[in-house]
Amino acid sequence: MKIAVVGAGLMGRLIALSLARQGYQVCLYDKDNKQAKQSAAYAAGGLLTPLGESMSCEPNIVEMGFTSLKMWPELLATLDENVYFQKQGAIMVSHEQDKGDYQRFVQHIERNYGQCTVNALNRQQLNELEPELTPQFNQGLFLPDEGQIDNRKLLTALQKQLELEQVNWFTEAEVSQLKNQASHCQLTVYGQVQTFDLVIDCRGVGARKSYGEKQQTSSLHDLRAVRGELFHLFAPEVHLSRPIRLMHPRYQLYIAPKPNHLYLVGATEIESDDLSPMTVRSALELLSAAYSVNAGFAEANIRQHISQLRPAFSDNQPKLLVNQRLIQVNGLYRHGFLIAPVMLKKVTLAVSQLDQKVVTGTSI
Amino acid sequence: MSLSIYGEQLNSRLLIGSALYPSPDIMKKAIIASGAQVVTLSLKRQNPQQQSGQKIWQYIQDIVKQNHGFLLPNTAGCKTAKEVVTLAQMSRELFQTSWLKLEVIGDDYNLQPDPVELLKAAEILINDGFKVLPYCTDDLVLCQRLYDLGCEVIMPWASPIGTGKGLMNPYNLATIRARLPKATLILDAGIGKPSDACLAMEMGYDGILLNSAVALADDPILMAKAFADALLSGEQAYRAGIMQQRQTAQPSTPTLDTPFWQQN
Repeated sequence: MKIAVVGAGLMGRLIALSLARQGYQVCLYDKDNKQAKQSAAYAAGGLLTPLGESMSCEPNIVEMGFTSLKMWPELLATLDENVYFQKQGAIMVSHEQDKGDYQRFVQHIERNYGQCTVNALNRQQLNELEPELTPQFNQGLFLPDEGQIDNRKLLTALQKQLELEQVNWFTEAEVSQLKNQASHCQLTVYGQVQTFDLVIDCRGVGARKSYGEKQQTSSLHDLRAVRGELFHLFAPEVHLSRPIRLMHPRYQLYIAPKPNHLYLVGATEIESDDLSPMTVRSALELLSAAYSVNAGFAEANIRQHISQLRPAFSDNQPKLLVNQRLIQVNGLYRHGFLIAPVMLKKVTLAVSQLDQKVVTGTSI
Repeated sequence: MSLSIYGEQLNSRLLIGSALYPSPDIMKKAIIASGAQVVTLSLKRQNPQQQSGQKIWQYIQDIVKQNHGFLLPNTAGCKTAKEVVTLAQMSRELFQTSWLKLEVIGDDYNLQPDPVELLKAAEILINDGFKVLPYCTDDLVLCQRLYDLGCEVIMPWASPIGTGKGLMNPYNLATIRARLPKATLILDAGIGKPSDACLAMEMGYDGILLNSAVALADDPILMAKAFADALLSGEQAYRAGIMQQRQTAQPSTPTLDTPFWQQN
């Protein structure tokens, strides 16, 4: 089977690599270059914190998150380059004025995830675990099974691997149209029509355009963008070792420590498809949150400020849609890295089922 | 009995916000379960000049249609009358409605409305043809001034936004009700549980506007239904006439057969 993967973000890369290794002839298309700076995966925080997310997502996402946490090390072991992956747990704290939100979170965990390991910590215990947290936090939760990954490093490691596998990667190649039929799927790129046995569309909000007039009735009609903003801070004075999540009335704020004193501070969540740079209001909120967790952030350098769009369906659930010779993977929302290994497995399963039908001549 | 807002008769006395839900679909189900016919919507952060929030706005408008209701754009996030007026004009153009929930924040910490800027903005907007529903503190004189300016609907707070503390000052709220008998009074902000809403309705308030109490519940859809029931219950109680409290017990069953030594 000749397969095209459209969109070389996180899912596109994982899927293309997996299929190439299985011996399929794979072409990868993306409107961007290989750095993928326009992708949601490049902008992401790389948190793998299913319980931390559980307040605002349904239980199946939490479950997929825990399963994926187990799958990541295995997946990373198949890559030649080392990718920073950590599973030392995450910490949840709140300032006194947001205590109501914190208690709501505790109650939510007790009610719905009673079987998971969660340790309530007092000020002293918090201090022992993360000595550099501001002593103003009177209590916190330690979620020992949570983790994180270096999202950008993973993208480059996957790039190297795809090159080694000699996958045909067409960069700066925007797919303008997709035409799905019973026996094949055609895509238009650079004004030329290419025919494949199967097309896997892994683009996020960018996928909306290429389904033409039928958009309103298409499977992507309720796909929307949720704007997120975050900072990359270089903070040699700060020594936090685990992701810290801070209760906030509007956002799920986090500080994710990455190698070499880099800290990701995010992320806002705004119902908007505006891609313009970060607003002052968001900057104030994110930076004051970081500063309130550790005063050492005052002298940090702002390396980057990022705004990007998360693709989400109206139920905020990820979707894998199989229709004739087209597979669509979309709506991973704020959970891309959290659930990617599980989604990958689902996609490869769908492909092999489709392949069998093609081989045996069963109608699809 | 219906609720009247600037001449529109509504079956539901609940007005509901469209923020903080776990997903748009859950918001939709919750709003439909609540029966609310007025849905508030904020646009300040969605870069309204670019209409970047079009997708979610359309989604909310569809819900409103389904409940045969009205959209109520708000000016959340504004701090001055000037800001409010610009945003209000944009919202009227975008949503083709002159209704406006007027919100001017005076304090960042507890998001308390600024009464001075509020009056200023209300006057400008009313002169510009807006139908203003001001969100204000529970100060009688402020409410009177807003009413005198031409606000047919006044929306004092129960307690600060999002706190869920319920009716902090029932005396103030009862006074406003008593002194502005003709105004449509809607209790806005601070409602935590259905009994808070029921209490306000028993006091003769015309309606309740809330958001967090439903959106942040473990089961927003079930909570929306609980609020709908509470409002109905409180409104019926008000119309039915609540009995007066007494200092001493008055048995509701005749005590003729109780020997006198058992009656104290």
